[in-house]
Amino acid sequence: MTSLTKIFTVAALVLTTATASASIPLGGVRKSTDGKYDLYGCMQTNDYYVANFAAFQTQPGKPVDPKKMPPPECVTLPALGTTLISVDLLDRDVRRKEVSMKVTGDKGAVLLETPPTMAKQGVITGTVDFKTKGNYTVVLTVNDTDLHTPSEISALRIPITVAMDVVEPASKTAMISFFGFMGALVVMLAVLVPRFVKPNTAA
Amino acid sequence: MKFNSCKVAVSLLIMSQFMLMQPLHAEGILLGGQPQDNAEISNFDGKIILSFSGNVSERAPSLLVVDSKGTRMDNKDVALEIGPRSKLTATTPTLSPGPYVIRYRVVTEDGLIVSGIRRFTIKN
Repeated sequence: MTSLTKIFTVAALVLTTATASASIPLGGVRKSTDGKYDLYGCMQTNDYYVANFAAFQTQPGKPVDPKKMPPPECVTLPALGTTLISVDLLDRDVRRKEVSMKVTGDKGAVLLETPPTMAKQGVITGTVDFKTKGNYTVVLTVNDTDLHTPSEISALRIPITVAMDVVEPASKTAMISFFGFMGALVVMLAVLVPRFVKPNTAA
Repeated sequence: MKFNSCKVAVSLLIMSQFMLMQPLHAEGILLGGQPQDNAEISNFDGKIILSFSGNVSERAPSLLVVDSKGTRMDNKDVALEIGPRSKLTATTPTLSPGPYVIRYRVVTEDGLIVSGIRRFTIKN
């Protein structure tokens, strides 16, 4: 074995060890729950598990093309229609356990339920066609062979909204109403006051 | 001469990989804790302490204890003390003999998740 081969072998072994012992990254800058972009992205947690949520929406009527995906949305989805939901499992041990994903409406209707799968690459995906705006929940259930906790207790529930109208802040609405009222009052006074002040020429 | 240059280049490449790896190891690793993993203890004081290296953040720390049936046994009082060796702590009431599992999680400032499972057994 030449010295170069030895060096490459050692380097490969060292790099492999480093990869195995490294923590799991969140996955770079992504849109967060408040719409800003930061390193933590759309991280969702409960006491048991942590995951990164992403939803990819395409224009209505167009199929999902994995090669031309729009930027991921977080839990506030702007539109109805076909949506690819992708959840990164960020607990290393969970990638060796069976995980299923369910999407339910606010009245309990199940829109999607994936079979329990071992996501060795750490990603669970599913496609949902949202037909009505409203509140939905993405439920991630782990068959945790270490904890044995009932999955309905440990399940990671991610509330999402779909195509809900953006409500203007109350202060902004109040300001617009105030200035509108004041404007109308000024116009009214400008028209009426001269009529009252005007001397009666007939007398 | 060419071979020497090649050797130097390869050595520099390996050194750069080592330099890149250093931050990886500095970004949060479980150093150890009490009880130790797979420990068998007879006089447990109800305190769980895990130490982490690296730039641990205040985001979403978690530490819970479950018994062999999956019932949560900790007092839900997880606390994180950030420092050179950040400490994640929680307490439990008096535990009856049997196996227990700890699930822990910290998130680093660099967006890395350090989470896992530890076990311990309370002996008679």
